[in-house]
Parts: sequence; structure tokens; C-alpha cells
Amino acid sequence: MEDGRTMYYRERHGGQPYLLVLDRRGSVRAIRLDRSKTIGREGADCSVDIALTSPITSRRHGEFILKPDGVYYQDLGSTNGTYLNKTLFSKQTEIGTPPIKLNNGDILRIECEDKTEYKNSSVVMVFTNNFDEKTDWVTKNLQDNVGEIHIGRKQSDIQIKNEMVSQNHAKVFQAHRGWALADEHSTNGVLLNGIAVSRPQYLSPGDVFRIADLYFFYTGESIIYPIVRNGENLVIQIKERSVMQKMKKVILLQDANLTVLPGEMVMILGGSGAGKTTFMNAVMGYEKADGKILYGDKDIYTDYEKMKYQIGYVPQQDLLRGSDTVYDTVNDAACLKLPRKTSKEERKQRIEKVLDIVNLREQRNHLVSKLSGGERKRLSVAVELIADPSLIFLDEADSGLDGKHSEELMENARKIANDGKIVMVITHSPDRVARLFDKVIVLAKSARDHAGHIAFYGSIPEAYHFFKAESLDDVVRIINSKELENGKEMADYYIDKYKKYAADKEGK
Amino acid sequence: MQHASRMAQIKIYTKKCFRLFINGKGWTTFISAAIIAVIISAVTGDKTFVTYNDTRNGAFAFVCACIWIGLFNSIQSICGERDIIKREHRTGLHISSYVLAHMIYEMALCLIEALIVTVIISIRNGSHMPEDPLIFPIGMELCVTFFLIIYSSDVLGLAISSIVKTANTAMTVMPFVLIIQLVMSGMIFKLEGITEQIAKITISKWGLQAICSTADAVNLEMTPAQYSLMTDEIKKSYEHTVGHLSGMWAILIAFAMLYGVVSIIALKFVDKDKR
Repeated sequence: MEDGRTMYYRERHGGQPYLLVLDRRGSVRAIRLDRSKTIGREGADCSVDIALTSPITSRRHGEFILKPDGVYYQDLGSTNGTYLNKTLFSKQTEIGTPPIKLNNGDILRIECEDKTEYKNSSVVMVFTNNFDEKTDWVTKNLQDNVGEIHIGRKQSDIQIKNEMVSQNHAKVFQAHRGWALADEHSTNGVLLNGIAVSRPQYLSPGDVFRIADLYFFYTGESIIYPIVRNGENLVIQIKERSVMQKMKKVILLQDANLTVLPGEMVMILGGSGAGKTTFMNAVMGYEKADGKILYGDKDIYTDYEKMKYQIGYVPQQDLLRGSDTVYDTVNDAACLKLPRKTSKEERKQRIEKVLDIVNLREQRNHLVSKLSGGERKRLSVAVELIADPSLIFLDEADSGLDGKHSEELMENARKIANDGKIVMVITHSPDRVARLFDKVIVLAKSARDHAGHIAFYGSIPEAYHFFKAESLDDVVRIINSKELENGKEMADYYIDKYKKYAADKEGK
Repeated sequence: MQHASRMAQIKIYTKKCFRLFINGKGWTTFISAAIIAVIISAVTGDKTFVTYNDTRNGAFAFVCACIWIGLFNSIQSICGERDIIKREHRTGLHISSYVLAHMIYEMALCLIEALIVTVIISIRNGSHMPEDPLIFPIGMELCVTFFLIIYSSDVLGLAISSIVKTANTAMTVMPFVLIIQLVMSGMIFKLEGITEQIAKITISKWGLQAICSTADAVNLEMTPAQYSLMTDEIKKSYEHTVGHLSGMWAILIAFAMLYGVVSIIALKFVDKDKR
């Protein structure tokens, strides 16, 4: 693709059908319709394939039926019915409606007429047969102090690297009565709830706008949009991580299975002793666990020698020599870590680039011992970045830094992740920097086996919903609480809840 | 994809050591070497290199000073940055390159310190320095011996620094190592049996013999009582021949190499350090 040219969109038919679901969890789920699947309200007695978090959904609300000629939707006689492209086509009949064939881009909604009581309870589902499995969903918060958000292929507020998106494609802006959407004379146009946007249109929560085969969800407070990650996934499959203590095997971590996508910045949260550092060390191959850590087609454990230059690790304490200068520290790291064939000129360029990224160009001739805490930490990051690693781990790298320096460090990490790297961070001040993260892993120490388990993995809005919390500090407090829920300690309650949640999310 | 070779890494780390020496005002170590040499010169009598007894005592004091200087140079140098080494080892650092770089750097440091010690001792004993050196002019010959004692002690310090995990532990171990070197030199006590065998692995024993060999101690003035105690074994130890002196030097070089290997092996376990 040439940088300046936008390709014309042609609708593709016959691809694998998917359902994009946005409910009260606050994030979009992509569910593959590889067989007929029922939808309904989540709960203890939930027996449907796709569980929805919304009180206005019936226990068995509807069904997506896979037939040879396509996918059909049938409302199963639900209380509130289902809207198809804003038209209510079924409500509380005994047998529901006859199945209706779905077309690419159809929008299904479950809404309630009483919008005051059931505010934010709507469910939006988009049917598509052109969806890339590597898609991830990013939430862009709409802040009052921002007047316009530009969407386009060039460097924009929402940058979509897709050849069918124009350089300046559309904008979402604050108008007199709220946020509105306008097409900026793009090649392929914008559809709002299936209708072409020819002049600016006000947005309502639950609206979906579409550019080619990309769907944007407007929630009222944010826009959730898709990005296709380029790079390798990090697949973590840890059965257990144990140590021998007094001739006895002690399990520190158990059943940690998850996938991190390229370009994601992931926070690792958990109480003391939950195994945060154990988990991080196991993932980067520092302390091997029983299991596999796959980065693309390479296993970090068995291919560590090949992988070691791709792993960057910034620990809590600074691993720097105080009597060396900033430049020499980075230069030595470059000499060690860059391939032997790298020319002197290329090495210099790389050093300059890294010093720029961490904003230490002016301090290049300063002795490390004379740097401030924040500068030292940024230098630690520079030493790790020099080999251009794909996986970067920060283990409480912000401890001892004040708020400003801590944010600077995390903003640097965000920039690095935006380049398609995977960044995993343990921090003691999660709420201060939460906006920069894509996902959060919550680890909890089980009262049953005293080992660390995954109690949640997903986006931060999802985490708030999952733990019924208002902040990440709240999440940590909840997970550490000794109070009982359903007869279990909180940690175990959420460990079990997450197992079910993860299985449900995968559409099993 | 190939990265920095072992040789390239030796170069990187040797340069780093010298840079840290300059930036970290490492030259202060030369002041302490000079002070020690001055003190030792002050306490050794005017008859060092003149009489047998004073020469042995003086040589023992020089050996003690050199071992102290050597150990002090390096005993904290590796354990003080163990966490850094662990991280760098995980990202491609060869431990052998790291230790060899330190050994090259320490060699230069020890050479300057040996020069300082030689100059101060030569000034103090200028009028009665040994007149019949074996291999080089007297100043240079003594300097080589001092250098080899300082250097082998320095590499012993590196080995200890590679084995222990903290600077505090290193400083706790150091007096024990010094005491063993002093007691086992054979100068203070007559060693027999197991202690005699242990003495063979001390730097002090061979260093003392090298200095006494250059000074031709057994042919210096001695009292009749001392003469009556002179055994063939002692005469052989202080033999004033090129072969004997070069043998002592070879043993000190072998010690330095052995301690270097110990340092490399010990430091290979750095990955097993717990948090």
C-alpha cells in the first residue's frame, strides 16, 4: 500500500461469521459463530452459549442459527425483544419469531423502554463475516476538555492502519448537544447504525459506526475501536511454579493461562504474596515454571538463548554502575546486545534514538550517580530498549519515584507498547497510570492451596465490572479481603468466578 | 544472529573498568598503597638486606603489605555489582570475559602499586639494597616480585568476591584470609604436618622466598646461633639462583591463574542467586 492512497472498499461475502458483543462488561467480545449459539442472561443457572451481563436480557433470549445459506437469528420469546437495525422485530410471543437471516453489518440490540432504571443495560451486537482474529479492542475515553477526536490512517487520535481508511477519515466532536460524528470527505464513507453519514450526526450511547469492515462502538463516555495487532502473541501456559522449601515442594503459582497481544501494555496486580514477581519471572524465563511461554512459534524456555535479546527487564532496583556516564552505559549495552554486524554508525543512531525515547539526551554526559531517581529509572529502560526487545517487563520500576516521574516512566512504556511491543508492568500505584494500560492481570493467593492464581485478566473497565470496584486499588483491597462470599474467601471466590468468566468469554 | 564475541566483551569490560576507575576517583587506592609502603619502610630496620634476620623480617613485612594491597584492591569489586552481573549474564555476558577484563584491569592497577611500593622501599633502603640481583636490575627484580604478590592476592580477592554475595560478607572473610596468609607463611611459626601442606597454597610463603632469594638472605650476616639453626631446607628455600627465583614467580603466576578460574566458576552460579 502506498502511504497516500486509500483503497476502495468492496464488501466481502462468505467469510467466517462473528458476533461482536458489547454489554455491561464495558468491552467488546468477538464470538465466532462456528455453530448455532444461544444468548441469554448470565447467572448461576445460565445454560446459554453466550452469557450477557444485562438485567434486561431474558435467561434464554435468542439464538443464532447456523444454516447452509448463512446465519439466522431467532428471538426466543424474550421479555424485551430484540431490535434489528433499530427495528423491534419481536417481543414476548410464546414461540418468539421465525428466524431472520442476518447480513454483514447488521446491528442487533437488546434495549428496555425504561431507560432511566436500566441505564447502561443495553446490549449491542454486530453481525459480521469479515473479522480478523488478531483484532483487539481499545477504549478511547472522551474527556470533556477534548473538543475533537480525529480518526484516520495517518497519525491521529484514533489511528487505524488499514488501507480502506482515509488519512483523515472522520471525526467525533463536541457539539452543542453532545458528541457528534462527521465524515471528513473520506473515500469509503462512514455508516452510523447502518446509514451513511452525509452530514454531522449526534451520537447516542450504544450507537455503532462503521468504516469499511471496522466497527466503532460509542458508549457515551468512550469510543471502543478495533486495531489489528501486528506482531506475535505472547501465550502464557503455566501449570505451576514451585520451589523446594525444607525438603517440601511449595507451589507458588498455579494455572496461569492467558494470551497477550502485540502492542498491549498489561498491568499485573495482586496482593502481597500473590505471586506477581514470580509470575513475571516465570513469563520472561528468569525462573522457569512447569509449562510453556510461547512468543510466536518460539518457546521462551527452550529457545531462551535465541530469545534473550528480545526480552527487556527493568527491575525495582537500578542495575547501573554509578561511576559510568549515561552515554557509556547505553553504549556498552549496545555493544553487548546489538548484532555483531551492526556498524558503528548504526549503533550510534540507535543510541541516539533510545536516548530520545527516554528523554535523556541532555544528560548523556552525566554520571549515573548524579542522576535523579526518575532519570536513573529511564536509563534502566534505555539499557533494556537498546536491543529493540519485543517483550518488556517492569517490576515495580516506579517504586521510589514521585507521581510525576512515575507517570513519565509509564508514558514512556506506553510509547514503547504503541510500537507493537508487549509491555508487562507491576506497579504499586495502579490508579495513577491506569489510563495507559490495555489490560490488567489480577493475581490472588488462594486460601485453599496457598498458591497464586489468576483472578482476572481483561481490560480495566471489565475489571471494574468484574470486581464491582471503582478503582484498581479497590480491586486489590477486595482480593485481599478475608470476608466471605458464597462461603469462600474473596480470593477463592474471584478465582472461581474468573475460571467461569474466561470459559464463557471463549464461547465454550 | 551473532552478538559480541568473548574477545569483544573483554574489550568492552576492560574499557569500562578503566573508565569507572577514572570517573570513580580510583587513584585514591594508590595513596593507600603508598601509605602502607611508607609505614612498612618505617618499621623495618636499617639492616634490611644487610643481616639475615632483618632481611627475613623486612621481607615478611613487604609480603604482608603487598597481600593487603592486592586483596583490598578487588575484594568488593565483583560482589558489589552481583545483581548487575546476573542481569547482564542473562542478556549475553560471558562470565569468563567479565572476569578476564577485571584481571587485565587489576593487572595494570597492581603494576602501578608495585612500582609505588618498590620506589618507597628503594628510597628507604637505598644505601643497602641487594647488590647481586639474579634476573633484572635490583629495583626491577623486586618490583616484579612485589607485582606478582600483589597481583595474585588481587586475583584471590576477585575469587572471594565472586564466591560471596555481599560486600559485607567479603569484608568479614578478608581478615581470615589475611591471617591464614600470615600465619602460614612459615615466618612466625615452624610449620609441620598438615600446616606445612596448607602453607604450600599460600602466597606469603612463596613471596617471602622470592624476596629472600633476590636478597641472597642465607649469605647475609647472621649470628652464630642463627647459623647453627640454618638447615639445608632453609638454604634451599632462599636459594640465590635464577632457577629458584623464576620458580617462585611461576608459582605466583599459577596462583593468579588458578584464582581466576575459581572466580569464573564461582560466578557462573550467579543465575541461581535468589531474590
